[in-house]
Amino acid sequence: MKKEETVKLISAEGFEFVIDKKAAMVSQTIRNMLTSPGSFAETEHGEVTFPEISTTILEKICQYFYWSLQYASGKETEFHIEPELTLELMMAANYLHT
Amino acid sequence: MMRKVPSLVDLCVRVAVDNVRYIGNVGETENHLLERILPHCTLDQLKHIEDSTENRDLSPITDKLWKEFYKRQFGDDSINILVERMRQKKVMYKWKQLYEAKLKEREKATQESCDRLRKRYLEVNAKKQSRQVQLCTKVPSSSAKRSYSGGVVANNIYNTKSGLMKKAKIEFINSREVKNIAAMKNKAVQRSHSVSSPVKRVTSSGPSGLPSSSSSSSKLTKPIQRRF
Repeated sequence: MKKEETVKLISAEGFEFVIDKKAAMVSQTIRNMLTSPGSFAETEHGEVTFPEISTTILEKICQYFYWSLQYASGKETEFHIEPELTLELMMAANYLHT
Repeated sequence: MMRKVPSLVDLCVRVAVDNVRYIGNVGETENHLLERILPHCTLDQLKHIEDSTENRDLSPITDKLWKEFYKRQFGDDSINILVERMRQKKVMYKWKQLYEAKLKEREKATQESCDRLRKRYLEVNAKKQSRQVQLCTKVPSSSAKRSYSGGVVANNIYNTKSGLMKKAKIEFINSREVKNIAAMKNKAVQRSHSVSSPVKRVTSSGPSGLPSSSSSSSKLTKPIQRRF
């Protein structure tokens, strides 16, 4: 993976998730952060920190990104969500417009 | 071909709805999301969620849900009356409060009905009990019987030498006798309404009693006749 094609998502606990830019762009919020010219510091370093999103939730979100790309390309599978994560995941997804 | 991918939010809402019975504290979940989830709650589930979610008033979302619960439980008419009353008084009450108040009112009314019913049963039972034959531990003394029959009385009268005393005694016994007769008659009437045989057993002390009662009646009448 070329560095230019990845982004780093950092959770509240400081855990770093390195994922494809394409995957991260599934989130409208991240897309805006990364494409908006010069307004976000994130565009320079390709890093976004989410102080309000926990590691478990951020991991699940990254999984969703990849699932979403898969689904869009024709492979329709089920995306399983653990009930105990539901509310928190929902709020994070809402924030990320995804 | 790109199919529309379900959003993560939509997926989460779906799972939340499926698991609504496990939801307690909804924390800072956005209103529009709660709007999609909470209508799937039962009354108890909604109550649980509201109770578990501290420091947050969910009524902007739940008020209309409570109104629906109220309607289902107490009917359209009740709702219309309340709405009209609130409009007139220019007050707005939360439907959750109205629901709980109405429920309390109903429970109270039901409880009162039950109490009234129970009281009636007790009263009827008590009445039946009072008419039953009561077992006495003390056997009426034979002397008392004879006084009713007038035997002792007769002795007293005939033994008296003084006429004045005799007269006085006759008067006294008559009055008591009359009272006793009246009382015994009353009791006999009451008891005859229930079982007839106990009446016979109580008023007469057995075969030995019969002759005395018959003789008593004659002795009883005699003083009166003499008096007049």
